[in-house]
Amino acid sequence: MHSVTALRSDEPHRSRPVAGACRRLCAAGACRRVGTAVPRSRVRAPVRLCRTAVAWLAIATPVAFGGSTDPADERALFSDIPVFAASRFEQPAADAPADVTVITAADIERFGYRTLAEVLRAVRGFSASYDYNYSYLGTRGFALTGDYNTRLLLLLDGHRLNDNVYDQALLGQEGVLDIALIDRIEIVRGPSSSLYGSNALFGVINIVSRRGRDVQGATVRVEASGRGGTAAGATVGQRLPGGTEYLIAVGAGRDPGEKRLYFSEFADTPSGGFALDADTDRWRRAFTRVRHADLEITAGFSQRLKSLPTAPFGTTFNDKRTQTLDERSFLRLAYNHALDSGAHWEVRGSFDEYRFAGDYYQDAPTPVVTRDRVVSRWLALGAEWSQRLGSEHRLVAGLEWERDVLTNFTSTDTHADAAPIRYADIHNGSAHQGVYAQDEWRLRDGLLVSFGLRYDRYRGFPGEVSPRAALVYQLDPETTFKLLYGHAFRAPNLNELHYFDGSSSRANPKLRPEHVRTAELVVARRFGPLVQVTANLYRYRITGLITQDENQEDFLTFGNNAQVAIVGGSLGLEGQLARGLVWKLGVSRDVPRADWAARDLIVAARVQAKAALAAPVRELAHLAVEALYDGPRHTLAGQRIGGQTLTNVTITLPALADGVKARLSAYNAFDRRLAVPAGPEFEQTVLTQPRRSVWLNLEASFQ
Amino acid sequence: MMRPGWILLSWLTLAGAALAEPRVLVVPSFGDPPYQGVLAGIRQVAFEVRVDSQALPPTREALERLVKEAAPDTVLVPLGSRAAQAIAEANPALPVVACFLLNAIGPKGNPSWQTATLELPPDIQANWIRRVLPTARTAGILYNPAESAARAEALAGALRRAGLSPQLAEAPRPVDITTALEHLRDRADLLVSIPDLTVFNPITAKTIMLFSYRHRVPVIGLSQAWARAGALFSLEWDHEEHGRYCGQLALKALGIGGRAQPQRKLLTSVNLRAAAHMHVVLPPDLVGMFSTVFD
Repeated sequence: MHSVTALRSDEPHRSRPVAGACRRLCAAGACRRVGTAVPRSRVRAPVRLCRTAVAWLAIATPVAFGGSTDPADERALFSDIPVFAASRFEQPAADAPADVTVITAADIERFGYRTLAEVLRAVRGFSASYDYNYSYLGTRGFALTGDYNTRLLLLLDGHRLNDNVYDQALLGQEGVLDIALIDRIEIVRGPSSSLYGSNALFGVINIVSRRGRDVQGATVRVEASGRGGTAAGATVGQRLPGGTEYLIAVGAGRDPGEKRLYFSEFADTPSGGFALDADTDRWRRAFTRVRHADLEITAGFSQRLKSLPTAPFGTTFNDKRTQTLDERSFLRLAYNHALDSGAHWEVRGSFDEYRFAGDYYQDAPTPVVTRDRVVSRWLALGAEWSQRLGSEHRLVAGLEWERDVLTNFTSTDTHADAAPIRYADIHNGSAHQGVYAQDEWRLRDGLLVSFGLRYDRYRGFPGEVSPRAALVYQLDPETTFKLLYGHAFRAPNLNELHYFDGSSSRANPKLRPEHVRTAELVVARRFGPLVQVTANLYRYRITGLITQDENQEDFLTFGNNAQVAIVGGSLGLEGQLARGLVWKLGVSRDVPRADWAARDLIVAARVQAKAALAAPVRELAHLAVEALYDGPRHTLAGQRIGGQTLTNVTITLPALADGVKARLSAYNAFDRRLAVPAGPEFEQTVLTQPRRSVWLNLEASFQ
Repeated sequence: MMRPGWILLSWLTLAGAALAEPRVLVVPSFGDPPYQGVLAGIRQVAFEVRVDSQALPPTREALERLVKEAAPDTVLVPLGSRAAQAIAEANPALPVVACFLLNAIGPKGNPSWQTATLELPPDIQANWIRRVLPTARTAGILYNPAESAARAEALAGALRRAGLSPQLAEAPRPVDITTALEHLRDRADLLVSIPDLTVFNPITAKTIMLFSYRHRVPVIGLSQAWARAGALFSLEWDHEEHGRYCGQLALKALGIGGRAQPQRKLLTSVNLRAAAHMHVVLPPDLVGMFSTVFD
């Protein structure tokens, strides 16, 4: 066993044994010329805060807008009451100070989504790509290769899931929560730093998990794919009489992936350009949520091991040993109490851990394996107060505190016949505090003004002030206008601030946050109970965009190097017809403004279109089809990738037997050869996306 | 041969006798079927007297004329709050039995004014809750304290007698409903509706049903319309039964008949789809007890 020899910072820079010298450590969007910085932020409160942020999403009430007054007579007993059918139009709340989309568990089941990335990819204004390791999201015309979704804040029941090293939001099978445990997903577009602090440049994605009452028994599910993948999970949950509630879930899976994955760039390798059985994905998860009276405890664990068939970072092609391990866990306690006056207050604390292990094998010029290891733990505390004042004001205020308690960040090269060399050994931590307040002021029926402000203080750079204002006007019960304006910021993350390997990369502790200013107009109109139209126009500018570039000494260093300005908009239509048929359409268009300076970094499609249809079939099954179109885009090298359409089909048998339902899904049903731009860590300029796969899901419920 | 005078006198005597016949004059607020159902119930019991139905006159003057011209041996039976309020304002000298009301309307303490409301005795509600949800331990009561404080307390007492712990949440205005429901979200195993129109009306129904559906808190509805809309089940007086009760009160006001028998027949409705969503298992024999089943 060789001892580790640390590379001193004053040693002359020399070429690393492994070509490219890009490591997972660098990347988190780091190690390349694209910025990934993930701001460190404090997550905001739990569901209550999120609920505030979306203004009582899903329980927004026409009462809030007055409407016609209730009849003060006995006819209230037998007047026609609209049948509640969990309409997709229950959300968003008309007076939410944002453009909001909610995806329910029924939607997830109907369309056969298996990961959060698949869900979000189908949402108006979003796109997704996959590099055979992680899933990446683009939105509002913005997508940087290798950006680990750092400009979107991902919450689970209000708890922040972006880690505090790379600020990565895990959206694929590497995600923390099994898709079957999701009750709904609340997507709040636009800058949300006024409530959530850093990270929320383009929006907040809040996953609301199921509770014991949603299971009230046990559920077992198994999955199998045509290419040999398998997965299984079990959930038990119950709401006991009197209010105590619990849910416990475990799950695991294995997917061999693409067994023969061809890349022309490696045609001269022994395998002829084929990565054989090198796309294996293995995962396991556990989750629990327990509530008793005002106290709730939530804990989650996920571990995912992925082989990398794409030979990133100059590793040997078709070497199945090159793989990454992501492990994420958390424990959260929250005490929420409602006072008789109608006020609510909450205190919460959480402890999080993130672990990463990357093993990168290279045979030439000499066999070496680079091992990246990250262990990070952090503690967070928060408190919040919400109060209604009269019938006009609803106030929310809170404060948050977070501190790293452990950060180990190393990169080590291990040679067969030499002592290991440690190139990076980072232990810098961070601390952060934030205080926020928001007032929703109902000026009169149908007119609401919302104003929020947050101050964040980070170790190492000046405090950040993030305002947001919204004017929500309900022209009539069917039509709502929203005028929104907000600032948001992203603090540089640990990786961007401190990564240093002594040979190719330098730290930049002088990095500053990047900022975005967004103005937006949203119009939502309902045509009867069956059709809803939502349109939005926005303009935003990001300044101080954190990207990586070579400095004067040819070291890769992060800097506030670029700015982005985009004007865009989207139009969404959705409706319900008789007999359970639902449909939706969405288009979006983004136009870079003339003064933007990061054109070569942005690889998002400028035009997107989405269509989905779900219909019952002979009262025995449901058929759902979705088609997702991404318009032309370019690679980092400037090559053009033409427009392409991904089509998924799902057939659901909701009542296969008593308590048993089945679902058969074909992803990329027409087996199209789709491609996305590749990041600089790859030899490839484009990455072909997975071919058609078919998954069968069986679920049995016991109550 | 009878002289014309005798004929005239006989006719007048008969006419006078007819005019003095006990009479129930029903004045419905509206012509909707529920009002017709109540009227039918009144006719069933008041068969020995004359029962007339007169639509609520459109103007106050017309109503006052109607009341004034009514024969002495007449009892007025307004159905619904609109008619009851109008007749109360007309201050008739005749006995009044105001029926089909959510809340009592009319002069208090006036022995010639009686009220029959649609409110169910809280013990009936509590017993049905026990029957349908035997494992429930807490029951939420959402109410406007200015309108229904006494009603809420009465219901709370009945729930306690049935072994349930009431969880009261105040909503003085419709905008307070959301906050009050949040308070009940994790505390109440179910939500009991009470005839409080600030809180439970067709406009607030969406908010309440959305809450019920989202948080799987069954709602015990006020009427069949609520059960159809998604409440787990509902209880209300059968309209004809209520009419029969009112008819008995009217006969008693006329000095005919004995004490009115209390209402017994309920109109019960259950929503099986709501039950499935709430994970409430309803045995077939229990479902069979409901007069209307929505699925």
